[in-house]
Amino acid sequence: MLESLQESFAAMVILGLFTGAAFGFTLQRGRFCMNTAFRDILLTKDFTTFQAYILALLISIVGVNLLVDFGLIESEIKPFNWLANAIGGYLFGIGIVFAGGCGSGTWYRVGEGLVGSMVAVLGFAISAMAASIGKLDFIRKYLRQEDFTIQINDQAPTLHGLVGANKWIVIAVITAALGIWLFRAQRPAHQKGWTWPVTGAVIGLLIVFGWWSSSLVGKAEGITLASTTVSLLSYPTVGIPKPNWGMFMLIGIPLGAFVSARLLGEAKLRGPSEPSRYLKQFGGGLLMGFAAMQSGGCNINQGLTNLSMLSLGSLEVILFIILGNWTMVWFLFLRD
Amino acid sequence: MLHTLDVKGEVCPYSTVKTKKKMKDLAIGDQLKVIFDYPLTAEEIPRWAEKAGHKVIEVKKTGDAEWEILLEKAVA
Repeated sequence: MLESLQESFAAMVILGLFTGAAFGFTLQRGRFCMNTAFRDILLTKDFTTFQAYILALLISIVGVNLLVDFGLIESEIKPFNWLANAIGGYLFGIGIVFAGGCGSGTWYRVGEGLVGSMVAVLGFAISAMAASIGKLDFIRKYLRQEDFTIQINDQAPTLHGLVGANKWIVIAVITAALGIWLFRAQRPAHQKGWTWPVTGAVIGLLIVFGWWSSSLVGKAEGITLASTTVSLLSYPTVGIPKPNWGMFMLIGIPLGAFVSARLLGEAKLRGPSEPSRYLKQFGGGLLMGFAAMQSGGCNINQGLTNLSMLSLGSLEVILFIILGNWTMVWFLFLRD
Repeated sequence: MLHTLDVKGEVCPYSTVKTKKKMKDLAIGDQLKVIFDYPLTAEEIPRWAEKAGHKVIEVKKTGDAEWEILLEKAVA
């Protein structure tokens, strides 16, 4: 039965759309955006959204490694392109401030009806396509060449490989340390959407589900928003790639977010009154799309989907995204 | 005295940053009504205001994707 699923176009469409819609619904309910998560630490000293991220990460680390150990998916470690990861992550972190949302944040706000985010997604798609299959792909080829790639024993490095311990020992230590921090964290005040423990738990489970659901109908890739955004533009314009799970997953995100927002009475077409802000958001999108192609993925792909495999490269990307975000937040909002 | 700040169309952090700035110009005891259309703002402004020591009098949903927050300046 599982083999026939692999051939089924309908199963691919349904599983993709369902995963994306559930993810989009959750993003909207939890107002889950990593631009918010990282920025608020610095700007308002508020950790609410960051706590949701850490909880999602812990759950996806445990869940994804269980999937690997049960043989349901294969472990796939992102390469440690130290230069590309640093530059891409940092620029991505700057871009999300201008775009008014991270990869996932921008996509779910499209479903809420925020026109600025729609403009940002367009910028993202155009530059990411140019930087991956267009004329700018030489930059990523240069930055991601072997000279700037670190391997340990001919393999992409992982956290457990680095400390030379069994991966479950590393997972237990990480889960215990961050779990205690989360347990002592403040309960949220003034929450209108889902509280951070609910949001974090559901996002974590959906990251795990995404790995599994994509593996049923094609290559296991999990939830990713950058390469799939390129596909949604390149498919109608230049006819590649073949329709895949990821493209339908991505279409599902704004749909799920729209349903959620509609039910809450939060869906309406709206946008900033100053025209210059659309340009800013478009520019932010351009920067994000270009950057994500250097860093090998956006904040969801690197920060959750692949960090759950304990890839060291993914950890580097997310740390540089935070740094880039904080640099810009300081520059724009805290300098005086 | 009651002041009004309309930040419709603004997303975070602009709505919160503009509210912060406006609160600075108010006298203690003055109230500020913030009107906005971005869901997260309904959580961010009250959280910031309480941390800063101001009074959050009311957070109200007034329509489809429209909210109002009433704050009172309590510290300089």
